[in-house]
Amino acid sequence: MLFYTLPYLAFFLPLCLILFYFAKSFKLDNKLILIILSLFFYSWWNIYYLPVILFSIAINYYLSNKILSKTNNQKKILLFGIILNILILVTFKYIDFIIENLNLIFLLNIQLLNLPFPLAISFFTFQSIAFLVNVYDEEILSVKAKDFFLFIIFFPQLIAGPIVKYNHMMPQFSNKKNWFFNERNFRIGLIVLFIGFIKKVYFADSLSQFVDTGYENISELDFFSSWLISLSFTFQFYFDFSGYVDMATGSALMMNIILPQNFNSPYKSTSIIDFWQRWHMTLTQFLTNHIYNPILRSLKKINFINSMFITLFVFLIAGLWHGPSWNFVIFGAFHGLGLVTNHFYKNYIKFQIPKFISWFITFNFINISFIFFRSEEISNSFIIIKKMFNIKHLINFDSNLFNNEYFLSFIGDLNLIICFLLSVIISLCFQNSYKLLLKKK
Amino acid sequence: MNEDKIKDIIKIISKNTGIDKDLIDKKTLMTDFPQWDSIAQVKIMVELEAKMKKKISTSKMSELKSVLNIIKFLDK
Repeated sequence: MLFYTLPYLAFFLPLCLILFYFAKSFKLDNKLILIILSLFFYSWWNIYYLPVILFSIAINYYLSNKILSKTNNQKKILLFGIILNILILVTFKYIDFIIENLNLIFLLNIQLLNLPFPLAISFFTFQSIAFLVNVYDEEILSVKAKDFFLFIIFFPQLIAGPIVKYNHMMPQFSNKKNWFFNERNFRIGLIVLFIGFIKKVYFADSLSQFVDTGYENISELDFFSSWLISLSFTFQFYFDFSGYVDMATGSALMMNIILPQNFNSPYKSTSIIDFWQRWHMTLTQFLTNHIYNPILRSLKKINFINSMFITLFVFLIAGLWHGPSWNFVIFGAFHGLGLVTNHFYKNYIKFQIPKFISWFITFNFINISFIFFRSEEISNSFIIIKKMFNIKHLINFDSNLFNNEYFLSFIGDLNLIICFLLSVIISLCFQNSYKLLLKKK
Repeated sequence: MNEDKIKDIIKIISKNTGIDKDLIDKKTLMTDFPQWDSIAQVKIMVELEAKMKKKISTSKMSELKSVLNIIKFLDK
């Protein structure tokens, strides 16, 4: 079930809220109600995905209790848990990608498995790994089955994050004050949900039709139209992802649960370091806490060069996490190299670039990187980038501009122009929706 | 926490970031100085762990983003 669909907005969410607020009146358990509703939410898409998430929850709960029982093998159990979670993820998400590449490199003919791809597997895998590490680090001292079940399956954050922490979520679920209707949280939650809905249904969906047509007809693009589709995708992607997260945040807040911030006006960033502190923030935190920091601290000598190699490695993983495709790996490598360059400049070149120029460079870097994210073929990404920097097209400005069918379709669609311009203004000039939550009154 | 230990913390931060220790006090935040970056943070935490003999988990490392937070954590 998707947040912006009628079944969710008209039936599922109101039913959840009614059951949640009135559970205590009927002596029902709020956590149990949320678990049942979340299972229904998850199964709505495809009930055959359910066994995978249930297995993952059961095994991670068992392992966490094993770690908590203070045996001598805590480290081995943690390692086993991490490997098992990664194996589940690789089996369902990456196995065909691995087979395809093995076939290509070694000229083999291994059949693809075509396994179903369970929804949200990337999110619940990362969340489970973080949970096991926190148990091992004694940041979580006891775990109840019902609590862990709810932590993983809580429907607002299940499908597209944010990636939440057990110690952030469980006190909120257990706080009895949160089981009753709160007018302020309901009002702000509703507003954030509505903002997310508009971001997704108006902005992202309007731009996506234009972007899809462009990416299907790459050969027809010229200098201006290739810039136009790359920029349109950059805004579409932000409004789509952050809109969905807003709807998750709003839905959870209506049940008095505050999800962590995942976007902080990322297109206002003035460096790549700044961008990753504003874009998919909970993923950045996961990567820092569970890959970057552990590897760096394990080294005998912590220095700039080592940390930059680790940064590159982390971003290759981050790229691949987005999907089984070399395009995502390139996207990760692109950002890894961007971060390395950024750190190098910050540490060794003391020349202060004016803020506007920093923003301009950063924004264009992000825009170009997203071409790899959107293209289905690597070669298509390079064709678009080549067209974006083709001076010949720029020189032939007049003829190309008015002859290009794709460009004409853009300027002939007033709704699209308004949508595009509003996207630019909102992303670059407005406060983000999470600020509403942070306001005291 | 006694003043000597706070001085030790400030000394470790100063050593690993290159920030003059006179510019660091209890109110100093990681974001106040660009030199106090993610690499410096890991170095600080590793050295604090050894000096104060207290385990700092990798998740905690990212949360201890101010002198006051570090003091509070080490005081627990």
